[in-house]
Amino acid sequence: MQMNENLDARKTLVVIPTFNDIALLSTIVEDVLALDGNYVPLVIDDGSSPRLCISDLPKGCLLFSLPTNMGLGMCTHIGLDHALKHGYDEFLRIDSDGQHPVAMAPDLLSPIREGAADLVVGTRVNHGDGAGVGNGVRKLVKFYFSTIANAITRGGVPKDVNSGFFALNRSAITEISNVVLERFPEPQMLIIAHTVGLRISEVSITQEPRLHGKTTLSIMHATRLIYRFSIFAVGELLTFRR
Amino acid sequence: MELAIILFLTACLIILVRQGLIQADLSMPWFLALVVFGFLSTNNAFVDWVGAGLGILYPPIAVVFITIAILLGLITVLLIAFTHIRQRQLKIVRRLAELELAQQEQAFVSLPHKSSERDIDT
Repeated sequence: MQMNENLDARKTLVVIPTFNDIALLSTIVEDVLALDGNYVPLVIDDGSSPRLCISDLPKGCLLFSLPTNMGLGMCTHIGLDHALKHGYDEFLRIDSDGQHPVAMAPDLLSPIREGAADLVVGTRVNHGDGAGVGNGVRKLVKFYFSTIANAITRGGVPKDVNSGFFALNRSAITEISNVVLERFPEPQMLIIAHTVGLRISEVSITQEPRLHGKTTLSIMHATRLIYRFSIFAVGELLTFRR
Repeated sequence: MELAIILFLTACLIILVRQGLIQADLSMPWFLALVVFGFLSTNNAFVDWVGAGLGILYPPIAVVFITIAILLGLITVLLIAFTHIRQRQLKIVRRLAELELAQQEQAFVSLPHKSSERDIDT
């Protein structure tokens, strides 16, 4: 009973970054607000056009609109800063395209609440299903990131290092907010989490099919992603050697 | 020799990016250029062809090299300065977000009802 009361007292900040992907945003925010517990949705508009207004969203939601597109790294930082400053116990990130199962948020937070993990990743069991150039690029990027991240951490990261559905506890929020996250920060964040000794866990999730919008991952985008990550990985390797 | 120079430049670039002096995005064209010219410089025929094409087969070539080295140095300094400006810009945006969200959070707290029924006017 005491434990349940403590769990109910936990404040969870649910960060939902969005960039021109607002069709399902209201539904996602409503789903978050309908969860049993103290979940506070924070939508970060990453320079969408037209700009997102608070009146576009259900009541009970925080909103910050960036003037231009600054990437997921910046959105994550804004969420982490807010969680730190306002005493949130947990940080949860969800994509705005409706592919992440909001109802699984408590399952994702469960290892943190049990004290078994500091960072939990929702590993997508059906990620990359299907055919086409887009899926081929996604599989290639995922394979590359996963291989390098596993090589650096010696298997210390989850299977899905690109999942944007993840949760952090207070100590993980503090550690991760101290580093500069790049535009697609998930693999970078996991490697740093492993390096600083955070306990990482994963929960299997089934990704919903995309109903609106399209992925931002083009071949050019993938090349830049791979380059950024490679530079980061080389740097990490050099650091370890030292 | 060519390969050693390319490796040296690549190492310098990685160190600059790793130290946060040059942002990873800005270093990408440099890195690609290094990789491409690294490969091409191992081919003597290509080097001769470029030399002949640009007409730098006589001693004043040293002046050209010095000029190029100065330009590269200048670009590096400008890249570092630009990266600093971007980093400051990111810090300012984070700070602005912190202030604006603090106001919204304050509005939530001041309302008497429970968190899931909160309302806000901006």
